[in-house]
Amino acid sequence: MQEKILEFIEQLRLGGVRVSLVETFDCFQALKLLSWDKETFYHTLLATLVKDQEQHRLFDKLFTYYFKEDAFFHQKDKLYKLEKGSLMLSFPAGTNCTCCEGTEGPGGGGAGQGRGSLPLQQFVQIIRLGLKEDLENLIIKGISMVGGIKQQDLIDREDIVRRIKVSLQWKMGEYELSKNLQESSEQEKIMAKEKLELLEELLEEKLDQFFLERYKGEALKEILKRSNLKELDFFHLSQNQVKEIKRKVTQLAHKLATRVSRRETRGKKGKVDLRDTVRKSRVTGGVPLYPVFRQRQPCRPEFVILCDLSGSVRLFSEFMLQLTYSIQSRFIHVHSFAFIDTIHEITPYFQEQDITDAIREIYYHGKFSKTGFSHYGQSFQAFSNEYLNIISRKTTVLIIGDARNNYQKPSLDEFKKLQDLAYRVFWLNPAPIETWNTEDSIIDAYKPFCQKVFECRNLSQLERVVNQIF
Amino acid sequence: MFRSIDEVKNSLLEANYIVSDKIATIIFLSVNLQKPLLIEGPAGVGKTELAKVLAKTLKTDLIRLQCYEGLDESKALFEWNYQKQLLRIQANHLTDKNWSETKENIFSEEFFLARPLLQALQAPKPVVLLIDELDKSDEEFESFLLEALSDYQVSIPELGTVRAKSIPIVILTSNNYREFSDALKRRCLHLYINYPSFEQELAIVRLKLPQLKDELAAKIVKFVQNLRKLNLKKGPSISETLDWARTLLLLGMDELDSKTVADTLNVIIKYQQDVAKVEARINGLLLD
Repeated sequence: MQEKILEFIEQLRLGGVRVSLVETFDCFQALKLLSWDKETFYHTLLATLVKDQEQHRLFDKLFTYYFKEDAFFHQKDKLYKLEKGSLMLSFPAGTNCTCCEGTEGPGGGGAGQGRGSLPLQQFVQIIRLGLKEDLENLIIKGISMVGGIKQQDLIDREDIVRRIKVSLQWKMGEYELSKNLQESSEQEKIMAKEKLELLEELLEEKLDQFFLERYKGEALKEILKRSNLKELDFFHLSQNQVKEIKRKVTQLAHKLATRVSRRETRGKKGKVDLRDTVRKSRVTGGVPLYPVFRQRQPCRPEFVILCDLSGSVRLFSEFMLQLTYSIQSRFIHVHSFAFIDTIHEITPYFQEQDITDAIREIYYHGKFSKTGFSHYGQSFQAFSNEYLNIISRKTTVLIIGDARNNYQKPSLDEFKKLQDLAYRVFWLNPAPIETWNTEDSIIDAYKPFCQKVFECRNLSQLERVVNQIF
Repeated sequence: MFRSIDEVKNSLLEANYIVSDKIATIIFLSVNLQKPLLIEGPAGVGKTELAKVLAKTLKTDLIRLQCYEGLDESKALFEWNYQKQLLRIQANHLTDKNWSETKENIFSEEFFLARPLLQALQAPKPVVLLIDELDKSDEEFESFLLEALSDYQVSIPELGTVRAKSIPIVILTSNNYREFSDALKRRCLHLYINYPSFEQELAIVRLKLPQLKDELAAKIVKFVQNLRKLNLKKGPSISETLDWARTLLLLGMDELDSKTVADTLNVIIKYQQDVAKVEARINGLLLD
C-alpha cells in the first residue's frame, strides 16, 4: 500500500509537481491520523502533496487513474461530489471506456464510419438543452467517428483534437449557436458559454481516458508531460493552458517588481531619517556622528522592447509584453515596438488601458505589417531611421523573435547601431534551439551584436531568463 | 486539538462559519500535526475570517501580522527600544556608572519590544497566529519566516536562540498576487478556497441573516452567481453578497426588480467599467 502511494508521488513529480521528502513524510503522518474513506484520503493527499492550485487538475487525473479499485478503501466507494474546477470522473471498477470500440485502425471496425460528421442542428441542440451525460456522449461519438487513432497521435495531440472537432462540426456549431442566441436572455448565453467550456474540458478528459486505456504507460508519460506547464513548449499550449500561463507571467512580474524596487541606495542629502540615525548612533555611544537620510534613490533602468508579432512568435511576444507592463511602474520608461516587416510604436496603447485590451487593439489598429511575412532587415532599417534617438547609454534593448527573415536582407549595419548606442542588447528566441539557423532563421548573424541570445521555449526558461535580465 | 473532522465542522458552525468537508479535513490536519496552513484564494472568500473564527472556537487569542512590501524583521519579529536605551546610557553617564554595568542593562528584557511573531512564540498557551496577505510582502521576509515556521524558534543576536514556549497555530493567507518560494510551500499544508457553489452560498446567507426571506435570499445568491460568470475585472465575493443582502434588508426591499438592483449595484461591483457592463444586462440576468 505504501508503495502505491510512493509510486503515485513519483508520477506527480514527472508531471511537474515538486513533492519533497518532507511532504511525503507529512502525507503519511496525516494518513495515520484519519480514517480511510476515499474522500478524506483524497483531501489529505491534496493538502500535503500539492501546493499550487494549477496542479489540481493533474492531481485529479492521476488520482482517478491510480486509486480506482474499491478494495483499496475500507469503505464502499461513493460517487463523490464534483468540486468546481476539477473534473473527477468516478470510475466504478470494471467499466470499459466505450469510446474504444470502433477505432481499431483506418476504416473503423463495427459500424464502418470513418469520416462521417454530425448534423449541425444536433450540436446546437445538445449545447443548449443537454445535460452533462449528453455532452459526454457527444464527445464519445466524436472520438469514435474519427477513424484510425494511432500511437503517434499521443504526441501530435493538437492534430487529433482538430480532427475530432471537425467531425463534430464544432466551429460551425459555435457560429450557429451564437446566431440562435442573439435574442435569448443573458442567462441562456452564460449557460451556453459554460457548456461549451465544459465540452472542451470533456474532450481533453475523454481523449486522455481513451489513450490511457489503449496505451497505458506510454500514454501516462505523455499526459504527464503535457500537464507539466512549466516545461511545456509554448507552441503546444491549449487554450486553457495559455490562460494559466498568462496568470503565471503576471505573478512573475509582481515578484520581480518587489525585487527591482529594493535596489535602492540612500541619498546623500535631504531630510534626515531620525529613527535610523538614532539606531546608527548606538555604535558611537549615543552620539549621532553619521546622519542617515530619508531620500532613497531607486535605480530604474530604461527598456526598449521590439516584438515580432508574426505567426507562432506572437504568443510569446504577448507574454513578454504582459510581463514588462506589469512591472512598468518600476522602470523610468518602457518603450515598446511591434514589427513584422515594418515597425510601429505601441507604447501609447498601454498608457491607460488594461493589458489585454491594449493587445487586442494593437492587432486591430497597428501598422506593423505590409505583406504579412517577416522581414527583420526592413524592420530594423525602419527603426534606425525613425526611433534611434530614444536609445541612450542606460537603455536595455530586448528583441523578441525567432529571426526567420524569409531569405531577405538582414540589415546588420543598422542593427550594429543599436549595439553601439545602448547599454546592452538581449535577444529572446522562443524557437527550439535545434531549429536555430535552419531554413531562413539567421539568428547567428545577429548574435555578435547582442550581449546574449536566450532560448525561451517554455515557462521555466522564461523565468530564468527574466530573473537574469530584470 | 480536535478529536475528529466532524468536531471541527460543528464547532465552527457554532461560531456561524460554514465549512465544507475539504476545509474541515485540512484544518484538522493542520491543528493536529502542528503544521502551518497556507490558504489561497480570491479576495473576500473568508480566509481571514476563518482564522478569527478558529481562534474563537479554540478559545485562544488571535495575533495578527498584516504583511506589506517592505515589512522587515523589526516590525514583524522584535525591536530594541532605541530611545529608551539611549536615555539609559545618558542617565548612567551622568550618575557615573561604569561601562560594564551599563552594558548588562541595555540589552535586557526591559528594552525589548516583542512584535507579533515573537509574541506568538512566547505566549504561555498556544495562540492562533494569522499572517495576513503574505503575497504582499517581499522575498526577504519569506526567508526569515522560514526559520520561525519550521522549528518555531528565532535567533536574536544579543539574546541567542529563543524557543517557543508553546507552538502556535499558524495561518498564512494569500491572494495569489505572486508565487511563493518552494521552501515556504514545503513547510505548510495547502488549502485553496474558491467562490462557493449556489447551495453553499445560500446556506451562508441564511445562516448569517436569518431574518432575510428565503425567496429573496435565493434570488440574491442566484444573481451574484451569474455575475461571477461574466468577465468582470473584479467579481463579487461572499462578503459582498452579504453586504448586499444587508443593504436590501435595511432598505426594506422584499422583491428584486431591476430598479433596486441598479440602485444598489455599487455595493457588489467596485469598478466603474464593471458597473457599465452589468447595467446593460440587468434585465437579462434577472429573468428566470
